[in-house]
Amino acid sequence: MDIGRLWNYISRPEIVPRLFALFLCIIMIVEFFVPTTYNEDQLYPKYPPQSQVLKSSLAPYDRGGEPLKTPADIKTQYPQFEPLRGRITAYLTPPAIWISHKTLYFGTTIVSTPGGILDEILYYTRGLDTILESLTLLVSFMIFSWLYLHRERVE
Amino acid sequence: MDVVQHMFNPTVFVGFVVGILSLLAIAYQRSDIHTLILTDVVECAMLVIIAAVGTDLAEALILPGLVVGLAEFLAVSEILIQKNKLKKKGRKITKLFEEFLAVEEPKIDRDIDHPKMEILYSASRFISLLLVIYGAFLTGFTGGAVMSLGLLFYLLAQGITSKGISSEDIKDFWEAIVGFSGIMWALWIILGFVGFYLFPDHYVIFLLIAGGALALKVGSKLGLIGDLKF
Amino acid sequence: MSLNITSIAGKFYGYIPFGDIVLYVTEFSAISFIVAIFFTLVVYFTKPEKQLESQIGGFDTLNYVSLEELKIRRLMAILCGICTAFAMLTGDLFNYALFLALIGITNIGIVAAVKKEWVLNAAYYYGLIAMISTLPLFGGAALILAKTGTLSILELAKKPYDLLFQKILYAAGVVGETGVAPFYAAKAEMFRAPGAPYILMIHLSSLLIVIRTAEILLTI
Repeated sequence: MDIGRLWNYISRPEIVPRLFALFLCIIMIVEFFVPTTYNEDQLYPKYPPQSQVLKSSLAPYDRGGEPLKTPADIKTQYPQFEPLRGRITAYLTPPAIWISHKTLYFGTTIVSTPGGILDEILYYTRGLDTILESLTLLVSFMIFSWLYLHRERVE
Repeated sequence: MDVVQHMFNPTVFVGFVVGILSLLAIAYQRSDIHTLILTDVVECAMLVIIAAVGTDLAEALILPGLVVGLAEFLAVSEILIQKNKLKKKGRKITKLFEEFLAVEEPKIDRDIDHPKMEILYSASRFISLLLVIYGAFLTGFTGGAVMSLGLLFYLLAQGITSKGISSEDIKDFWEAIVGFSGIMWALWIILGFVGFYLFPDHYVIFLLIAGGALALKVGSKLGLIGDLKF
Repeated sequence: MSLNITSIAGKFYGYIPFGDIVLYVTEFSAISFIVAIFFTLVVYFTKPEKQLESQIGGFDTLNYVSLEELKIRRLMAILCGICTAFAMLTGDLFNYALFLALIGITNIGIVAAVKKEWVLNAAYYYGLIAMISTLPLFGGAALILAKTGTLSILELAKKPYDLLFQKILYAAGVVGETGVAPFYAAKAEMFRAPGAPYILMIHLSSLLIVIRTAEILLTI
């Protein structure tokens, strides 16, 4: 086969995503023959499944600590850079405290924000990730709304 | 950690199988719109692989992964619409929001009794207010989603009950809300995020600012999608 | 505790901690940061070029960028430059992946604002590749997290890990997210479309990101 025709074939924009997808398939098959091992020493470990149900009202997300008094003990990457480690995890808003006294299933609802382990990670210890993530949404929304509002424009 | 370790490799395999199958489908697919939908399936496979790690960190990392996929999907699908619109020959200059403006209703000979959805006419304002207040109570991303649901419901109900609004009004409103959303984003970074590191003693204030600003940001932005009804 | 790492990046100057995500400055990243910021300023202060399109058997036409199109493309180019600059400094694999996703979407924005069919065509297929490559990028980062228990480059540099497959996956993600961007920018014939300085940001960011990825993959 003529190599010039091959070059012309792969220079079309619509061909490149297909070739890239095929290329990724070939790479990803390696995982089935050499599975990734799992390191037990993980950051922010979870408790065993179902171990907190009906014992704590914050059921799957109870990481210890008392609101505004004692911080929770969580395992982060760099504790020396985090003076607030565990405090946001332990924090509960007054309505959240009131509800958690009433029912044992408070942790399964979404009322627990702000405060809690996920807010600690998202706002504080890995806050830069969340900034970038919301900036991505903002940028895509700009592109979307610009294209949408200027679609009657003619060149 | 025994269960997580035991389930790690099967979960990763599931993610990879979904990924490989949808990638193969993309490689054979010719239609643009189907390729776009299949790329969304690829992103689901990515979320499965992150979830396989099974720690609180993985649970927090799913959110950025999901949002990045969503954002790219939003932009790329709008580009596809514009591209297909340009491809058509002999196009006319369309009016703003034309496809959402009501055209004449189809004529039906027989008399059909449409049951009116009473809730859209009488209670739309109350329900949307309820959802917005509940979202403000929740704060954070979930609160923003609930709040935007309230705004969306209100705007859709207004569209059905046909309140006339000109497209210039919508453009102004749109730009104002986008600006508000951007200001909330900046407020969160300046006060919410940097404040944690500069003034660790007053962290509760910054936590509440972060939660509230994020709720307003997400809520106002997603609520905008409801405007397309007009 | 010392955060010093021996890497190909040169002398270690210091770090900026934001919780778990630590930005660090080496000789390599400082130079790349300054280059990216300098070109962002260049993009901010230059006016887009106008083109005289000569036609056979007709009048020559002057192509120019309208003000509103200029605004959105300049904004996207500046965001792309700032993100490239900070991607040079970040010390966390997942954070780096998010920077790449953001650069990818700003690249789409730079290209997509031109309302010509072939340009939008290129933007669409580039968007598809960027969406596909979130799987190897974030998936590779998640597999590295599972295998080693950390995402920080500084921690990963301390111990030797066997991460060949995960690194290949991550590199494939980088290739898809920003590596192919110049191909589509050239494919869109952007050099012949008006408004040349903004498109150069795509090439610059892609170049810097590829070098930085090589540095990260050799360090961890």
